[in-house]
Amino acid sequence: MLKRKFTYENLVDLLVPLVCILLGFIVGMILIAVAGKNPFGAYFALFQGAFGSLSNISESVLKTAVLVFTGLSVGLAYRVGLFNIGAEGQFIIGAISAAFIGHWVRLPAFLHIPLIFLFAMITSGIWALIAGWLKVSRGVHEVISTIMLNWVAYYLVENWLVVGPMAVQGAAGSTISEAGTPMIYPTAKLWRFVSDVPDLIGKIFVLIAIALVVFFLAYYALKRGTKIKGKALWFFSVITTAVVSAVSAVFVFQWQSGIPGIRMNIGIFFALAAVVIIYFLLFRTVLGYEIRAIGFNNQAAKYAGINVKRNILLTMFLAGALAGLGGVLMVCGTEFRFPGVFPGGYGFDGIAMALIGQNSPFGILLASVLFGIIRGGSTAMQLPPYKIHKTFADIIQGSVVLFISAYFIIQYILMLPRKRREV
Amino acid sequence: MEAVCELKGICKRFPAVLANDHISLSVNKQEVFAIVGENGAGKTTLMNIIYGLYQPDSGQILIRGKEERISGPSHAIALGIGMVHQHFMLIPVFTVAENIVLGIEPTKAGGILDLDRAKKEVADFSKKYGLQIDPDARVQHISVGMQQRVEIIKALFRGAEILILDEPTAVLTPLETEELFETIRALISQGKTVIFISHKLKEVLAIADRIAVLRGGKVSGLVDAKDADEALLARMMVGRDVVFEYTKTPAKIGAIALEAKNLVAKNDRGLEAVKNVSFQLRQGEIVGIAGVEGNGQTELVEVLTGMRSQEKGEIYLAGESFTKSAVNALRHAGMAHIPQDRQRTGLVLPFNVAENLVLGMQRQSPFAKGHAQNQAEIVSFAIEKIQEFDIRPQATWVQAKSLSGGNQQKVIVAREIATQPKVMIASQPTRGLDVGATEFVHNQLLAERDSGKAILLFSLELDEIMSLSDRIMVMYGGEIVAEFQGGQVTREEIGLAMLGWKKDQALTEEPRLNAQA
Repeated sequence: MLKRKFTYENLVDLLVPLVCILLGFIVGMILIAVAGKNPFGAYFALFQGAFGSLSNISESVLKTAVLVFTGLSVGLAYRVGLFNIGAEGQFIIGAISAAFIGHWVRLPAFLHIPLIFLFAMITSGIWALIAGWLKVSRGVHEVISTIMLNWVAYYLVENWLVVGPMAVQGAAGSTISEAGTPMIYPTAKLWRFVSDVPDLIGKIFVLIAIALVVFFLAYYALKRGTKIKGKALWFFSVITTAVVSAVSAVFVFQWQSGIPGIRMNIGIFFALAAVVIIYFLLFRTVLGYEIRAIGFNNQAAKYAGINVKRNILLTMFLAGALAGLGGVLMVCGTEFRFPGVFPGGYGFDGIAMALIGQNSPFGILLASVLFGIIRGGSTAMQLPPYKIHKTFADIIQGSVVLFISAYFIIQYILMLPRKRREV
Repeated sequence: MEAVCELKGICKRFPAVLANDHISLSVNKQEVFAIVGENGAGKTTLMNIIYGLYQPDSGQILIRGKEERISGPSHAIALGIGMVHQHFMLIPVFTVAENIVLGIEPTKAGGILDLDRAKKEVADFSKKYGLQIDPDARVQHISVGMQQRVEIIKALFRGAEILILDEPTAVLTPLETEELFETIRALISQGKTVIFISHKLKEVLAIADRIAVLRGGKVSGLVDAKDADEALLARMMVGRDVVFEYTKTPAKIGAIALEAKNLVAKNDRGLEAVKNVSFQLRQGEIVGIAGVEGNGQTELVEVLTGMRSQEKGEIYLAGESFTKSAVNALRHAGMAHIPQDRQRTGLVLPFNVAENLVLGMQRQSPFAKGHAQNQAEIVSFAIEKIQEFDIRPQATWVQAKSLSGGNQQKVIVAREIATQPKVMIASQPTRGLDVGATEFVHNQLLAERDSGKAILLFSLELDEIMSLSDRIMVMYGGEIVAEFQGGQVTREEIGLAMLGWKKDQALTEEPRLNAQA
């Protein structure tokens, strides 16, 4: 059999998004220069703003985690052939669901947080399912229905629930910054692993988590990298886990104080897990195979006996659930309630992440990291001496999406050196 | 004899293949010069060089005795070379006249489009060449044969003296092909020259004056059509003898495998396309269904395979009722399907060969373990099939879209046979395939028949139906109008039935053609 070759075409496929990002930065540079500011200084401030201190890095990571979820939502739906413009609405539904369970249900943390995740995934999943159902039963185009559902979600939540039935009591009507839903209970908050030191039970949970991760990593590393098999494989994995856990335990139990004010939380680990899970779903399961078959060629999927309608509904539900989890991170990790002025827009940014990441889970992760950094750093650019408005980050993002839309043109230009040799 | 187009030692190399290897040909004025060869023999590359789409690596092109470096299609058009591509380059919502004048539109003062003049010019032009056409008709409303005529007029309108037709009959019905040949003869009598590219040997023999055969980028033969026959051309194309008559063992007919009772189904426009169709298909036989395109064959295939909902009637597979069943249920019960459109239906083109080889079997053991895909099994199955069916390139990870048509079809045939079906529904299984690939598919179908499978073969090619079928049914206007025993019927009898003649009908009656838009 022929060995798989890494061709020039493959290289171009990888290069196109990178070139688009580079072009986006150049456009940003030109615009800063046109505005009479120093573009190099501005970019320096941007990256200092993103990496300059632990707190800056933390803000970038926060934004990355949310972008990953909305990006995966759009990317997954696109794999089955649907353009999910509704990630924003699903994001809002997920956030209000988290605020609801966070304040109106009392449970210990190890039950409270899973319940919030489950409830928010179901509500936002169902929200997306409305569009999916309209598509398969009535042929309503999902772009239209999801855009409309965005506005339904927006007005339902922000103009009714948050100022009406779910508004915080007492403070209502005073100042806008105090408006919103009541604070969620501490048991519903995602752990800020840099600033908050866990109690004894929490520390035990941390150790269990470390042990599980180490075990899986050790197991797969040994399985892939060595010839160890069967019982020996288990034995060596358990030994490695025990050693690493024991060493970690020493540090975890000595852990006395954190660095206050660092908002970074375990949401980023959920985001990373989601990337891996969606990757496995798409490329290692029968369901993922069927989803991709439908997205590439609906007619062939039908011919192969794949239940197209059921798979579209299922995928749309999962896409909604992913966007909803982004909303959960927002409420349980950063805001601790649904605030009166909700930091929205992540759902729409998810479309950009999916486009730049070419609908591949790891591509979406990379795009989210980059734009998490730009968004985290853009705050620093506002300060003197650069004083560049923070919407500048949107300008870069918008230009990159614009260049991605010209994918075939850039691909053509990158293929030119190869073309010329052919002639 | 005056040579209008001469090629001397044309070479063209692509990264992995020498597409044209020192090709020298000379086309005379007022002749139909045919170029035949298998897919990938270099026909299209050569024509693209003449039309200026590619530059040759070496060699000369002489147009009317003068050496030219043809830099692009506009240069070729200026030299009087016109090309009609296999896939038409027409704008469906424009009228015939608008399409013909596109790019060289007549204008009034101030650059305003003069559509009346365009219409008149086109009408005059079509009259001059005797090519009947309605300048006001929208292209989307006229038949494929008419669209091709528009393409030909478009080329002539731009002053073409040498007309290149790339696989012109691939999309035509037999009747439309006959009309095309009339058109070609008319053009020749008016002093034009036609270069005709095809791999359908019968047609080439019918229309061409001289025939050049390409194999592996080289000219493997140049003959006068009157001295050639199919066997000779096929041997030059493939490099070995090709069987046109299959030696069939007598059919070992078994139990009823598939039975349709009074099937009724509508087409996409909501009109009744299958009307009261009943038949029985038994194990170990091939039943061919002949008919002119658009007489309900597509809809019947879709109903039988569960892809289209039926209005009335019953379907039995191996004695069990599968009326209104889903595709999946039918596949599980042993129905395999080679669809008529391999790219749109049979394959997921961006999937690789291994993924395509399990399409439809993706939930079955050993390709799935619960919800997880078993990649190792999928790849080893693919390696096995690639070797068994000689699918090229020999790689499991290559996307199906980069395979040639013949190899794409091999992927489908390999997969459908691997499902070990009771019934195989093959719809135009050799459409667009070259001689070698066609022979391969036919042999596979015969082998399946001999192993006791029941095969229902839909084809527009009468030769294919006649050489493979044990029984032949003819579909016309959504009904089965005639049934014959294979080997006991002439082309003419089937041909008449295809035009809607019932057996008992008086022969004096005019045949009513099934007009299709």
